[in-house]
Amino acid sequence: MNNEATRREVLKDTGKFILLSGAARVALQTMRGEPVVEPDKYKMAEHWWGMTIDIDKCIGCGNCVKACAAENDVPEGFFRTWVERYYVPDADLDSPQVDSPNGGFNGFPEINRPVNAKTFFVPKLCNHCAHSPCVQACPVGATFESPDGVVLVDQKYCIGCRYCVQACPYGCRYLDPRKNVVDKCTLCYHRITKGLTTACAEACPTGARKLADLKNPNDPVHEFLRDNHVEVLKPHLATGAKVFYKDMDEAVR
Amino acid sequence: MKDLVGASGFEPPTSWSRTRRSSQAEPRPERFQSSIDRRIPSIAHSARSNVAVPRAINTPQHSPHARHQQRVRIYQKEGNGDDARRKCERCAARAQQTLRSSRPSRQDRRDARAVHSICLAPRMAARAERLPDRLSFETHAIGLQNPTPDAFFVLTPFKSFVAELARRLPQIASSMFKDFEHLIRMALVLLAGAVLFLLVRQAIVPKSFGQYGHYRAAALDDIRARPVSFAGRQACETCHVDEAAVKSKGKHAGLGCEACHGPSARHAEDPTTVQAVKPDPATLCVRCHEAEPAKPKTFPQVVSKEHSGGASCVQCHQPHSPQVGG
Repeated sequence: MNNEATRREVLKDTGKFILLSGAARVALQTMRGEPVVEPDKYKMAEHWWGMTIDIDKCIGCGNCVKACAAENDVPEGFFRTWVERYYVPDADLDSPQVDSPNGGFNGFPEINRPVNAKTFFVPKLCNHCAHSPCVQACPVGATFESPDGVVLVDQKYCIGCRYCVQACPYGCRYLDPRKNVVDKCTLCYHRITKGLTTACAEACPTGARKLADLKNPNDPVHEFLRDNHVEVLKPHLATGAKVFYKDMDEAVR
Repeated sequence: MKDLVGASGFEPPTSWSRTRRSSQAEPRPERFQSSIDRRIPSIAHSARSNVAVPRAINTPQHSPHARHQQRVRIYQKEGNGDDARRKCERCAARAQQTLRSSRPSRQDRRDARAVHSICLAPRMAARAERLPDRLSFETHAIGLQNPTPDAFFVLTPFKSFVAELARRLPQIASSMFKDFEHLIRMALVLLAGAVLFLLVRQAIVPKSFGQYGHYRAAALDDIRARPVSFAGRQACETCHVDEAAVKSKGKHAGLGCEACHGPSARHAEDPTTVQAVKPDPATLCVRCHEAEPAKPKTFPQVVSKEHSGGASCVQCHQPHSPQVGG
């Protein structure tokens, strides 16, 4: 007598088992009155977040700074994103003057300066480096690069030692004086994982800032990177920064 | 013979008979001898030990035990450990022979056993001068390989060898390390510490730590749990269809609703009780359109005082489609 199951039978039974055990679990959860947890639609492995910034479109309105503060409860006087106004005199290209009154929160009051100068706005935020120096500095594993490419702070783990604040070459971190833990741009992680864009990009009237998902083949970031002169801040530091600036002037630090 | 050995003139005179010193040329101290030589003295000795053993030594001072101890004391005093060991071995060999001889008396056997217990391993001598007592174990190992009747240990099956080894382990260890008991205590304390550390670590380190890297994976969920303030343009346009239609044709088509109206997620969730903010055009429009040299040249900007003379922007411009006549 042949007692061995055929391959087809084994596959069928396995399939039944998998399907039925899943159904049984859901049934059991419903019976117990537990909330049936929907599987997380957001898959970290399918994303690699960054941001594109078109300097030629930024009008320095400060909407992004305001939106960020409203969305993320940023304490007054601290900024997860801010806008800088560059003023590069033609006579002295090496010494640009940069100002950012209150981070650009209320826009930029006009200053009467000689007109023989190049002047423009540069929005800044965490560059969400792929090899970020701040993560390497953290002694307790409270800051990390998430699997989808966002540099985040675990505020329950942060001991407020400020090493990362010093390590960040872009000055994107601050110590939240209310909680005494480090805070920074999360790239609106709570929004982008729900399919929304960041608060700053949502509020930007000219579309100068755009959220970019480098793993999404349909994301316009690919054309942006291909068709423009794009640079990151401080490329010589090899931080793997993922905030891409289009047509950035040499004066920008 | 006696005249020749150690006679001065031939070679430097010896300070002792060749039982201790062969000549001044021999490297000293003997401890520098290769350890192999020292390990198998009993085998080397066996050829010479086939001597008749005196029987029935009954008086305590003449018992092998007493004589052995005396020897150990002497050699200890004179500081020659190797000789002490060798003598000791000789004792044991003789005792074994006694036991093997025909019909030993009860006293003979007792004496022999006494020798056995003391001399069987040269550890007494070794311990007396604080030398490592690896000899007994090693001799046994050699005995296993080269079974000779005079080998120190009678060849035993492997099982009993292991049992013997286990029994002697504390002794061996105590002779290898000074104050062995302290080491045991220390080892126990260390072990307890290690167990405690592992338990505490298990309790303190969060389960998700290390899931993706050197951080708490659950922190990602904590950050994701934050509520949203900006509903997003799509949420607005699902209800405000008319405004969206107007806006989509005008110059402000690219703007998000909340760029002007502010964060409105609460309004989007509960439109009846939470009212959306209607922005003040007096401050809103100039925020973007007030002239400023740093703004891009192509961006429409005005010096508001000259442009309107103080009139409100919305008198001429409709915010959702701002071009006049557009």
